[in-house]
Amino acid sequence: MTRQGRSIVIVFVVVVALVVALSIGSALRNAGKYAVEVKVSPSDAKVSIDGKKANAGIVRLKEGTHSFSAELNGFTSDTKTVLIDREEIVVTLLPKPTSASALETVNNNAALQAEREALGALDAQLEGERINEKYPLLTRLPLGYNQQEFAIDYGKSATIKDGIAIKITANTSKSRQYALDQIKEWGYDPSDYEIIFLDYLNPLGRTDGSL
Amino acid sequence: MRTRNIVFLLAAAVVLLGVAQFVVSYVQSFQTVQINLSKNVSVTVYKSGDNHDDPLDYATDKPIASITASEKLKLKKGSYVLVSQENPDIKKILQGFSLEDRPETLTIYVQYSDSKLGDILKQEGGTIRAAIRAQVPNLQSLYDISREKLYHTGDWYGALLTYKGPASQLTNDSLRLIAKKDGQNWKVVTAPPQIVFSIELYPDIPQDIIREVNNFL
Repeated sequence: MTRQGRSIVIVFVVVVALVVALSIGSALRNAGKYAVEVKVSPSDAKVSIDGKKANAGIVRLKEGTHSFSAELNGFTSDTKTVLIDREEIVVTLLPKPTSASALETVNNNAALQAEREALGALDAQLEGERINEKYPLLTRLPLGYNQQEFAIDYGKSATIKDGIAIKITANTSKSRQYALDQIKEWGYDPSDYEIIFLDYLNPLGRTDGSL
Repeated sequence: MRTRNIVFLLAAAVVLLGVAQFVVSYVQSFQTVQINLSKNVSVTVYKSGDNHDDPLDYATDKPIASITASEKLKLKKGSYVLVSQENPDIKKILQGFSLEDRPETLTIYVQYSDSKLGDILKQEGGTIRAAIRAQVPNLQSLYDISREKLYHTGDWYGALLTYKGPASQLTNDSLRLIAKKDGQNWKVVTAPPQIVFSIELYPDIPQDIIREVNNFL
């Protein structure tokens, strides 16, 4: 083999070895991590994840709860804590304009406004999906007052952070039982929900523990 | 460079990439499961059987690991069944689990057999009822304990309270109560008793107990 030929072989071997090492390293580094898409508007906001500087777009994170934040001068920073436990979670960050110049920037830029509205709509949709996934019973609600004299609705929980409480309106013991039977009939276990009986005064004390 | 050398180099590159891919997929084919065991329990992990419709079907000829204390195992992704050793006083535990993309944690409680728990309730029932009546004012005058049961190692108690107070359609709901043994004393952990308990509101109470007490009739 000529000297030139040997050089080509060496370069080739080094390149292949590098490609192999990089692909193994990348695969192992990303093992057990999930792809998360971070969307931010305005796009020049500084994004950080768990306090470390990051970029918008696709990032790979380990399973667990992570803090996402976007900051920009003249805007109130937007921070979200999100449980990452599967692929393709989208996190939207939308700092709100507070200073006069930031407000002017947003108000005078139709494209930016449209982008922010779209992101806001996406945020609301994702929040709705998250809640329905965690509390599938909500897809059946509200259920209006019926012949069995109960109604089932839902609202924010006063005791569980970011939680939902199921609110049952029923005047009698029998109708409260009917409401629980209805939830079971739909295939849900009442144990999985915080259930508040709006018209019930517990003879043994209040649900906050006072007697 | 001769054609033969080029072919050789390309073949070597393909083989190397193939080996790399094999190594990566092999490493990624494993997942960890943390098994937390309470005292006096030993379990064996089996590979699931061929009956995929039954999550508790397991291949007895394929024990993967036997553990006697809490341990983290690294297993091939797939379906497994965890089986506790049989004992006349302890309920056999059969729990299926799957390992996929995320690590899993299983907590296995000792559960006495129903007959042993019944015996303990006969001995301790009076003490438990006295303790909860002392902690929940008006319980004795307004409700009867119409059903009661001990759970796990006799350290959890669930009861159904049936209304016996003044006739009323508005408040005669049956209520439920859960108490826990703390040292030698019993403490009501769901004050006040309620129509139905939420797992989210009582994260310290094992879910199986909440679900069963909520279904007391």
